[in-house]
Amino acid sequence: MNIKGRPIGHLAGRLTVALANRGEQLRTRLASRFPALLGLPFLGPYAQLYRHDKMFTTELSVFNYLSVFLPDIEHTMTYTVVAYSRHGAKIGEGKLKLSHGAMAQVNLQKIIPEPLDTHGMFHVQADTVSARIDVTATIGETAGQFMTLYYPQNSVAQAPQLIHSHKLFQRVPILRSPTVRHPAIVEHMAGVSSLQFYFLNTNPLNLGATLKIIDAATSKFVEARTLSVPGHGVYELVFGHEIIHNWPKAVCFEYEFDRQVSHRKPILFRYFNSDSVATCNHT
Amino acid sequence: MDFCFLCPSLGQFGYETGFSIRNPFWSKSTELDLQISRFDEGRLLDRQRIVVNSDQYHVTAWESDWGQTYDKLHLLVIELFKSGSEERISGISGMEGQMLFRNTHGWTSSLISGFVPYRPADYRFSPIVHTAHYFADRQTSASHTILLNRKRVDMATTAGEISIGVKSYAGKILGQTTITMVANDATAIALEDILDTCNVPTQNRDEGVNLLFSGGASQFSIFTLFQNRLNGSIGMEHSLAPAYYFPQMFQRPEIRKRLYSWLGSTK
Repeated sequence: MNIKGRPIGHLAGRLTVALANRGEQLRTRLASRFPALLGLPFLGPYAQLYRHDKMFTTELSVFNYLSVFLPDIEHTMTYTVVAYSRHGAKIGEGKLKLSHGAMAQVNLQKIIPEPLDTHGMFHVQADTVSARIDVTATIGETAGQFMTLYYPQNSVAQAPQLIHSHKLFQRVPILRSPTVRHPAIVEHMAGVSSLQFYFLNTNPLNLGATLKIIDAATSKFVEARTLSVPGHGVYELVFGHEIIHNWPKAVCFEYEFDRQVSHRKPILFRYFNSDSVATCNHT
Repeated sequence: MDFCFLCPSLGQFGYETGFSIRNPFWSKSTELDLQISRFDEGRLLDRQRIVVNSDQYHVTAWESDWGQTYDKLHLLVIELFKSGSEERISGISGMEGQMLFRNTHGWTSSLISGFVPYRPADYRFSPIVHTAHYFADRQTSASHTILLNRKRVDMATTAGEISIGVKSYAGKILGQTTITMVANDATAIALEDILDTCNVPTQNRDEGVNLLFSGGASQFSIFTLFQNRLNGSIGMEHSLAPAYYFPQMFQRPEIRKRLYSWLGSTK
């Protein structure tokens, strides 16, 4: 049975998404109204993939954005960074303090005291000490966005890869609410030696996902992989040359997720030159 | 509202450029034309159309498919029309396209980005604000900021002046310079050129710097590009516009006005 074209079985899941969003709106509105009591309203935390393996290490790039747009008010910003293992276990956290007008590009392992996993998720939450909290509150909620750099372990071999980040880390469990995503991306397989997908689960519950490979020219199904990502974990899915050499010249993807996690754009690394050079983007 | 997809042609960096778009009329028995316009310093250099049949799920085209490659940086504008007509495809708000870049090694880089709206001739743009924050000036990779400007041909031919301020990692002002952009053009600004122009000391370069771009009230797409100095491999991403940091800008014009007025202050 459907309501407005959507299965009634998804109602509970969609309700949790709506409630979580509404709760966040309420929190930031109250903070805007009573900043001295509740602190300034910051959205977040925002989550992204880190890699800490043979190929890449991860650098976080942030700046004191309040000092750019409110230059007459002294702001000291603090970014709190939390890292998780690929299985979703919290590894540790650290802080980055930026004085008025300052910025930083720092290796994640220098912020997190504990050893990072080979890959996993990290999230970043901004906060500030404002010299005029009453004035700063009038601009409403702000978001501590950042850039993530995947910095090559062998920097002679290739350029750093960079990716922006604006997916919310979710503390409220999102119930079952299946959704399908058709990304705009087409992968041209000429010269590619392997593909590596990272599926991020920003939600505390286990995430079921299916990746379908589709012929970009004909829309014919090529193959599919079903996987399970632990809550707040990351699943690495690799297609080696022995698999992709059977694929068509160009392929596209379709994702099925069993719940509406905020991050539905898996990060893709494509490798060339016998896997010695990689490029990356979100899909 | 009409939309277009803006893409830099990266011949200057040794890359052939292409793009890929999911056919919005796939299996709907409607054909469309993809119109590709190439601009060089405001001048229309080339304009071609590609017919997309309804049985094409995705369409990909490289520069060598529709024209020729150049060793310069150009602006490419991709627009969708009903086949054989001047009628633009409407209802593509939120549509994304993929830009593609490949070099002679066969290494491909890719970037997903949204179509951008054409504003009315009397639309008042806010100044762009872009922070290229904390570039550590690494020995092995060069950093560039790429600015793409698109104006309709019936609008003014300058995109305006853009101020580029240089700050140290700690926020100390190290210098400032200004560039003028013509409309319908692509410009690559090399970090090192700016640091040389502003006589930034070596120690500050090694510690990392921040560039603040502001001005040029017009339609821009902005990208950061890293290029390995030895083998030419690249990493690229679009910028984070101010609305990413201040989401209320979208809903509340008075907040937008307040933020930009503060930006204009001199401290």
